[in-house]
Amino acid sequence: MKRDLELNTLLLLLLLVSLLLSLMIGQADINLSQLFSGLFSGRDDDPYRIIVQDIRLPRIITGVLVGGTLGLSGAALQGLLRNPLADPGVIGVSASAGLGAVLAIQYGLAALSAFFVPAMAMLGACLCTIALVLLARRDSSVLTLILIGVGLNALAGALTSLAINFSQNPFALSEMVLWLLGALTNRSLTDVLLALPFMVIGGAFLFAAGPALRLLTLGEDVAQVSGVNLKLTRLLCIIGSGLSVGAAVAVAGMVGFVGLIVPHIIRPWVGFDPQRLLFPSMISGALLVLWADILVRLLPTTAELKLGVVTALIGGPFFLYLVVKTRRGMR
Amino acid sequence: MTGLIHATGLHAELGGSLVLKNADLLLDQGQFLAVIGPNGAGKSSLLRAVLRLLPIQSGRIEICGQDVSGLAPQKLSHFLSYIPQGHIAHWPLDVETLVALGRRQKHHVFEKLRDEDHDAIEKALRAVGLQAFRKRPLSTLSGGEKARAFIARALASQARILMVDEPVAALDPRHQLQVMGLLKDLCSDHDIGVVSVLHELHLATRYCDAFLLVNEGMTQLIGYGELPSNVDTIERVFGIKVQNLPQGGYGAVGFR
Repeated sequence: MKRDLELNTLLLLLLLVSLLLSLMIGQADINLSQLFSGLFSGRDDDPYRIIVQDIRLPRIITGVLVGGTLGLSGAALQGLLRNPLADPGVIGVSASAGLGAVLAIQYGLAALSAFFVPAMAMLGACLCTIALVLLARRDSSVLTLILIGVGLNALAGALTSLAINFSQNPFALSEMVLWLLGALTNRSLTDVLLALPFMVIGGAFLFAAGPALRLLTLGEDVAQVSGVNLKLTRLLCIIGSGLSVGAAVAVAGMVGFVGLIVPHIIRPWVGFDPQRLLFPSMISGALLVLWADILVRLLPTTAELKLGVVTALIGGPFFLYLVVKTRRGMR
Repeated sequence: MTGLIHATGLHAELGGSLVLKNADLLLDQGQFLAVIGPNGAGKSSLLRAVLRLLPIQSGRIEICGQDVSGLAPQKLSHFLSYIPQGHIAHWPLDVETLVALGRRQKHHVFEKLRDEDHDAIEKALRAVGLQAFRKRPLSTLSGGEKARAFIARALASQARILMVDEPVAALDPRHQLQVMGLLKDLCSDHDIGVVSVLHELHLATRYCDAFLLVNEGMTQLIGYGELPSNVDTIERVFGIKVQNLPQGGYGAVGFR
């Protein structure tokens, strides 16, 4: 829509600037010309090439994809469930992906190949999505879907704790806990390539549900009378979120609060329209994760701060502020 | 052909008990039909059955001459528009966006609105007198304005049948008259038919052309002219005493 063009252009420009800044800032700051020489250099021993192409670029691309996925999926789920407290965590997909990764570390698969951690996480997310679809198939109410999600979330969380509880190996234990905190460190382009197809397909599903989400503003009855296929819409949102968020957790661990707060920030700018919310939420999610990651690199802490810790530290208080402010406004 | 709804012999179950027993609902073009009856009589269920939100065990529903059992939901949405109780919007959209939702079923989902859509939206806003409110979020509207905005969305769909569940509940007397007058005008000006669940007996008997009395899942159609001879039935079903009001219509005045 025309009125969203300005907002979306602004957000995309912000994203571009943030990308460049993010490539320049770090333990070794580099300037713009060094950045471009590093970006297009083919020499293996060029230090700028190593910093830009090998270290920062995979990390930043992962961050953008993960943030975009979480923002988009949060917006779509809040639209589907018509609940401003919904986020990708609420349907249990994140926790299931986390369980998959923890199991991969616990049973030594991670030692065989680093590829097994994201692959197992993706498997966990897919199994959770299938369980959601099967369990929610018979009863169509939104409340049932939320409750099933909460149940699966709790179950995956409990099994994850069980795995940590039984872990004999202190190295594996610390690896599991750190992995769960969420981070973009040591990402390679292989990780990106593994996650990308799931994110693209899942994202496409979520965008496809957009028009139905707008009609759902008036409730399921009106939407249905207006010709919305509720079952299809629900499937698009569950499978779309399951695949894309599963992939995000697989490459970055648990990065909380992005999917929850980003739609809240954007909503007033798109007239509270659940369909128009999707695209700017995706871009803003990417922005938020990108800046949280820049913060992680800038803050002089002894151990590197974990990304998931930072997003939660920013997200928690900010969310409380938003709740107090918007609830007053919507009344 | 003037029959908009021809639903006969409807049986429907809800949570194991029979909520509709051989119920009929007939609506003609230009008719304002009030569905009246005590709480829990099956009024909303009757509307929901015709709207195909509640599956029926038996019976036949024809909408604009077409049997709905063979009709895709997408197709049905061209004929029917529904305004449920309470005028709930989960997000505070602005009035224009709400009204534009009435146009969605006309298109493929991602198509942009065309000129004819904007015309229909404009007409609908004018019909309910909310042109000046188009950019206002729903959360800032009063109950009466909100009720009119929801009617505008239904109008914008250009559906010939409007199904309304308790349109004036929780409105002040002035807005009640306004909304009832609006619905009546729509019937006479736009060749559409309105079915409305109503609890306000005095409003129903003043504004509507016919009354569908629902009691324990069964229906009885009472024409406007036949009203006086059926006062006794109405009193019995509701357990009240009604009286002829000086300005026309009937109102409850006490227990039976």
